Amino acid sequence: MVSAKKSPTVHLFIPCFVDQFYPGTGMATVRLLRNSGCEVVYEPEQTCCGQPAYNSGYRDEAAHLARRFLRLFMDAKAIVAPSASCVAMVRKHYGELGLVGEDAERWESLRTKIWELSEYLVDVLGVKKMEARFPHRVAYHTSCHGFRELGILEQPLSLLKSVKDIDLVELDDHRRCCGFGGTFAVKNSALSAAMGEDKLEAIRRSGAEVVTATDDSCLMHIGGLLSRQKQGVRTLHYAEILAGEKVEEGEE
Amino acid sequence: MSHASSPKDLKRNMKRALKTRPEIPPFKKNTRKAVDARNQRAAEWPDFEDRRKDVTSRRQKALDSLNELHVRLRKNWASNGVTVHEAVDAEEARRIVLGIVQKSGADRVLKSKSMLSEEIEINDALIAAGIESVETDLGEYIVQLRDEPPSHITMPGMHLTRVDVGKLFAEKLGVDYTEDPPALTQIARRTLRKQFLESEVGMVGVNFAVAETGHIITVTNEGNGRMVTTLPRVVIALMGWERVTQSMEDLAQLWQLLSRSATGQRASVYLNMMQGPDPENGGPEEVHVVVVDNGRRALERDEELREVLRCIRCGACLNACPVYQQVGGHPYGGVYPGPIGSVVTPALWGIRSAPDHPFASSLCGACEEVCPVSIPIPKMLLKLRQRRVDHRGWPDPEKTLWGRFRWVMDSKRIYESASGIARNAQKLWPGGGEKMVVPGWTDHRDAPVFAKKPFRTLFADSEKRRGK
Amino acid sequence: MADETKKKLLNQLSESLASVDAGLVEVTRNKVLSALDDVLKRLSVERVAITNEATLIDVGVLKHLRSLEDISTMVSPAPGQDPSIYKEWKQRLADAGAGVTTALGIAAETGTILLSQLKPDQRSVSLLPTHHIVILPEIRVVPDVAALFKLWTESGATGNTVMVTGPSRTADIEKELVLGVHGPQSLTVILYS
Repeated sequence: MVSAKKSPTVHLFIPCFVDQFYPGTGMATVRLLRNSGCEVVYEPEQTCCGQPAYNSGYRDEAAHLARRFLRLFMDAKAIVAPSASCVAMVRKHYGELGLVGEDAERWESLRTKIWELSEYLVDVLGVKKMEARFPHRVAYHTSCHGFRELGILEQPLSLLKSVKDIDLVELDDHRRCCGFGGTFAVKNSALSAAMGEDKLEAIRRSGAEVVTATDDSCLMHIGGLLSRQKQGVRTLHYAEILAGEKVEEGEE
Repeated sequence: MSHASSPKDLKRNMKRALKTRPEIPPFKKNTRKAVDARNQRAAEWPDFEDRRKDVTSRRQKALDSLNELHVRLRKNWASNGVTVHEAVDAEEARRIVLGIVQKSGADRVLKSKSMLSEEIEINDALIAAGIESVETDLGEYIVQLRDEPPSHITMPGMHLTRVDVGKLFAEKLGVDYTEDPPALTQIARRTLRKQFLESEVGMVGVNFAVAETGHIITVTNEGNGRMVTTLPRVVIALMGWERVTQSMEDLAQLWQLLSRSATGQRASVYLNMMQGPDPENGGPEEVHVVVVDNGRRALERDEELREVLRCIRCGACLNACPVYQQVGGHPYGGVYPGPIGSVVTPALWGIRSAPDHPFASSLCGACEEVCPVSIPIPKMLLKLRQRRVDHRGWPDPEKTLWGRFRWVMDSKRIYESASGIARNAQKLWPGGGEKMVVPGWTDHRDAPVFAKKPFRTLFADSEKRRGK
Repeated sequence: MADETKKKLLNQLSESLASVDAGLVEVTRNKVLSALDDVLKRLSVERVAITNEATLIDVGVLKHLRSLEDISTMVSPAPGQDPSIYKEWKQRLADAGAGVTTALGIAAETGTILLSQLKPDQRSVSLLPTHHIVILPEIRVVPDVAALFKLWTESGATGNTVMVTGPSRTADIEKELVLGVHGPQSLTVILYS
């Protein structure tokens, strides 16, 4: 599983909302990368990739934060983030911000070096199996940005399937949007909730105890609906399942 | 004739649609059926993606040389005996059509499906001039009887159940109630057949005009498109400026992709190819084409949005859209609903005409995934969102908010301090953090809870323990 | 065309016509007329319309139909006459039980037929009567839509015409398929070798 030759240095990008609301996802990411033989570097100057502003039509604000991001990570040889939508923002949408000169050059270089976690583990490191055990019925929700913009589906699924005792089930219409959509969730909240309801319907039909995905943002929305309705189903980022679930504070 | 609501009322209409829709809205069921059919047909071609790329590039090539193609087209039209009219905008188009109909002396026009005819609001103009305008496409016929606008591009009655139609026919046509679709269809067939045979003037929407030969192409399944281009003495074809395809070879590919994407058919039942008048063979005596601009030529010059002109109005994006599936087409107002409508309406008539459309999307990308001509709708919605923001005045609370956001995220110190404050504030919320009220979010969901310690702190602590 | 390829195409055509609810009758040339009789009987046709197209004359369809006692036959008027003639012809066509035409070609992948050009007028005969019957030789089967278009352009691509794939249909009410809307309610292809 670990390449004998190299011990790649990976720079973590832990998006703002993961940092504040789902640090377990971040810690699980660290553990997974280290277990796969990587050196992990975390630069605390990092904050946000700028996607929320971009999503709302605030191109200049997003561009400013993009330039900051690119400066911060410009020397990294590999950047890994447990968030497909943020990776898609950097890889694709940074190109629509009107970056010029040095910033544009940094982007051209950096966009080939940033990955979503499962992409990096499977496509770059060739990881095939996980050592973890998770004896629960788990439903996988296919986050839109990851799937449609980055083609991510088989990577997290293959890793999840290798988890011992896991009962991985497919949701009906698993690729249908959960309704989060960034600021859409707040601006069009009734619509967002209606779309989420359909996802909850599918979850109910699957009998899953846990819902997982590549994006904590989707899970924040799905989880918020689940807990409001007291469904007894919880959400958990797939990294935390792969890393052995509740990574206790300080545990490696 | 009922008008569609104004696009400006989108937000209000969507809210209302969500509140008043039935338990399982027909558009949820019907759109999903359509998507399944589309996917099934797409799977028949192992090289579907290549075909799609090919059709996309053909369509784009045509758009890139529209002026030359139009020159060629007009030459062919002239030699084919087709009368050509140019309309700069909807008003001119109405005037032209009215002129043709009045000259013919007819008091009724039989129409085959045309989104453009709705765009120029021709029915109202005809009625005002004392001319009856009869929709012959079954779905359009139904919504016309109901006095409401269509809710979908290719399936106008998407929002109705068989019971709705049964009740409608019983009431408006005086027939015995039935909710059996074949029986209902027969009723419509009988009622319209007589009118077809007596018709003097037919009006049809142009799917494509082939520059190579001048043929005017209409795609239908019911046969009404053929009826109105074969039986009447005078035929009026309404065409959007961008609907030109270079050759029959292009048309062959376009038509197949259109059919598979729109309804999951390998080919539409009828591909009507009209070259010109041929009274010596029992065909129409006059064939008129009204070429309508109405914002399209300006859109050609809009670098960021011009790709939307590739659209062939198949409606696949509507079917795939999780937002459309929830609320149907009516809330969008105007003429074009769904994902394509959310781009086309502000693209053709300015962001001020439809300021909320670009935001009524979660940007999931399902539309782009099924579009036969690969229109990057999410990218365009984002561009339109920027235009909306650029149009906001100053001072503006939203602009201030995002300026603040940038300021916070621009500095580690401020970010950490601001999140610390928010974390502590949430801790104090009576009943616990989950009960915290966040406008918009917590109407339907519990709020996310700040972790005791953010990742950055956990990581730093753990590194210390590791001796790093 | 090699036998294997021909067989594959015919199989494909059979499937594609079935998938669009069109009928297919495969016969040898000498059985065309009796096949036509069967179809007309099955559809309870009392009045049939036909054009003067060369293929149909060649196979003897017009002569045969005229010889039948319980079916009246109407032949499309010659071109170049007064418009009122055609108007009257179409009114009568609408009451005909079936219209018989030939086709320039048929695509195996989709079951699509390319109707012959407008002289003589095949459009109304293929549109107005309740049922549509197409008679054409096997040799006119082409692989797909692109090939059908090629056939069209090679023959000049002139005139008003139409490509037809099965009987008219709609799913405008609850997406439930209904056959026979404004166009013919059924389409039967008689393919002869």
